[in-house]
Amino acid sequence: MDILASFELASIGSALFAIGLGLFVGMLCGALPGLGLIIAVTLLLPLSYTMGPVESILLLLACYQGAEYGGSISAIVLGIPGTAMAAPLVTDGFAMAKTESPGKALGFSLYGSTFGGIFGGIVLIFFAEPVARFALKLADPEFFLLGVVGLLAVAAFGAVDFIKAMISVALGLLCGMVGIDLFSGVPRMTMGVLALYDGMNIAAVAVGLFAFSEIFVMISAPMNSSHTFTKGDMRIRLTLKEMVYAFKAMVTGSVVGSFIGALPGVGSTVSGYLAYSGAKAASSKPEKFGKGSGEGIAAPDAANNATVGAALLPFLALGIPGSASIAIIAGAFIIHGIQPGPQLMRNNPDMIQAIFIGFMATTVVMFFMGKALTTVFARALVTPNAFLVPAILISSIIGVYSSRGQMFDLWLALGLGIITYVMRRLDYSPAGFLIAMVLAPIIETSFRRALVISQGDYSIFITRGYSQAIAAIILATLAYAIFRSVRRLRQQRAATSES
Amino acid sequence: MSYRSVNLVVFAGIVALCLAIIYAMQSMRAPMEGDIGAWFVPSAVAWLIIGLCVVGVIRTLAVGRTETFVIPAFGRVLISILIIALFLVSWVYLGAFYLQMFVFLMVLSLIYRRPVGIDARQIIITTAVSAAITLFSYIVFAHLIYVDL
Repeated sequence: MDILASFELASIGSALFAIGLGLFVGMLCGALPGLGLIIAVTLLLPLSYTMGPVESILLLLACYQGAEYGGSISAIVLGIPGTAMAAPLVTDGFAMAKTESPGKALGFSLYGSTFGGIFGGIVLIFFAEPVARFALKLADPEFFLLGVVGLLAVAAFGAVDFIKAMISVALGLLCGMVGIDLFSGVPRMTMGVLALYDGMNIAAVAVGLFAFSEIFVMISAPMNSSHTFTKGDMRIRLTLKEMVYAFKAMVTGSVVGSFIGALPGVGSTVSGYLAYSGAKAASSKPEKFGKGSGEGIAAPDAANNATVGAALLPFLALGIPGSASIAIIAGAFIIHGIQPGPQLMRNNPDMIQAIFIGFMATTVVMFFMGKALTTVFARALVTPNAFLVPAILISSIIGVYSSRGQMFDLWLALGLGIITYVMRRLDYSPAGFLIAMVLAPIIETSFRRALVISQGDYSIFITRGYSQAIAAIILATLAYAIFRSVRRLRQQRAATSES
Repeated sequence: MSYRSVNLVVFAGIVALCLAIIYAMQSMRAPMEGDIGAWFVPSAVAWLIIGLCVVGVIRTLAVGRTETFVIPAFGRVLISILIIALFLVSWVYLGAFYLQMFVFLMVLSLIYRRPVGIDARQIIITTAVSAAITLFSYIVFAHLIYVDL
């Protein structure tokens, strides 16, 4: 009965349209080197305003899944990974495309992605409720500390420079506090701009941070070089024997991806490499790795797609986004006034079930779309950036404007894009910034509410058992980050003195 | 300008911004029953950023990269930013979004295609691509999802 209710809620037609559109844009952007997952999700985020909550979330999730697979297309066909996550499969994918056929390599990739996607979805479905049930035992001090863990992890594990990543995170927190204060009703940091009273538009910020800044990076590079590829056999299919051969690698990749995906700040690039190593260690033909092994393609791809479902786990159950892509998807929740976390799981089970069903449907649709359209995406690889950049620019502009119909948002996105373009070259972290901006209301509200409850006694953050456990994780993460920073500093000093 | 200098300038800019925020938050220090106040968290975060910037400055002075900070194809990036800004301004004042969009796409594509030479064929291709994108956007945004541009 619940499942039927979910289907009614999602409205099958519009949900399938959202899934199809998300997959198409995700696969296309994933396939085009230089664009990738975050731009794909960013470009689609403003469309969330025109859709229902479930459809918009499925649109972005489908885009996430599609981009994970799309990145493999250019890795296999051109030997250039479309996304960082596809890097681990370049060697085997490109080698197999040359020695056997691109279609065979793409087959291992697509079957691996589909298997990983379904595995990640099952992990999400089975673990989301227990984690959320556990999270219901947590109170404001723990939610504040969990938010801090999420931010520290992103800065410690996912960035090049810890200090600059922490500055990015803190700046993101400040931007997340712009607007009317929920406790006192007083506008903060708005500079009298009415458009900022509701806070910074998440779509404008995401487009500025990721789309505009990436466009400027593309403009900085040669814009008229177009890729060429040898049109080999592009039929994507695997025999039963080949599927059985790659099965162990797919399972290995999926398990690794599901575990790594749930950790904030680590991401699918790491899981892809770990899955590749794991599959090689478990393979009966390890000597084939690096020379066109189907297992070497299927394992990282399974891991990449398994991270999607797993990354949703802490977000849906605890309300903590662990990566920039999930933070952008969080934008869709914010746009529709939905607060992810244990309360959502308890109070809105229909929506959660619709998301789960839609997520599994996304993986299945991805399989068939991948089979039918991979050749089309491969052909898109020959488009030079001179034509792509204006098209992405105009999509970004329309997207931001359509989100709230305010010109201010466009200037905000452009300004942030210019600043981010420079800051990225200096190793600041736009991902940390966005995640912090999304988490800022949760962190501030939990912090202040905890202090109201304790009548200003700060010891409330370390007296409860759960708080102590989370505080210990914070200290361990901080210690690791400081250790890594000091080591990097020493290496830099050694390099400076040598030169 | 070296990476080291750019880093120091950016740290100085961030510190200035944080000081401005701390100053602005002072006016919100009115006490509220049971709550620490709207000023507290932004001020605390701003102080944290200042502290991190101080660490960053010390580190930059100690081991900062001395090579020149270069923005590749700076002229093209600057022209693109100016054209985007001009497009936004003219859209506000002149309207006719889709017509302006077509011109915007054509101008940008022609600028980016200039290194390969602009001839009649290139102009036809650019016009066709710009027209196709404009038409696609018009159908999608004006007739499918009804965005008033």
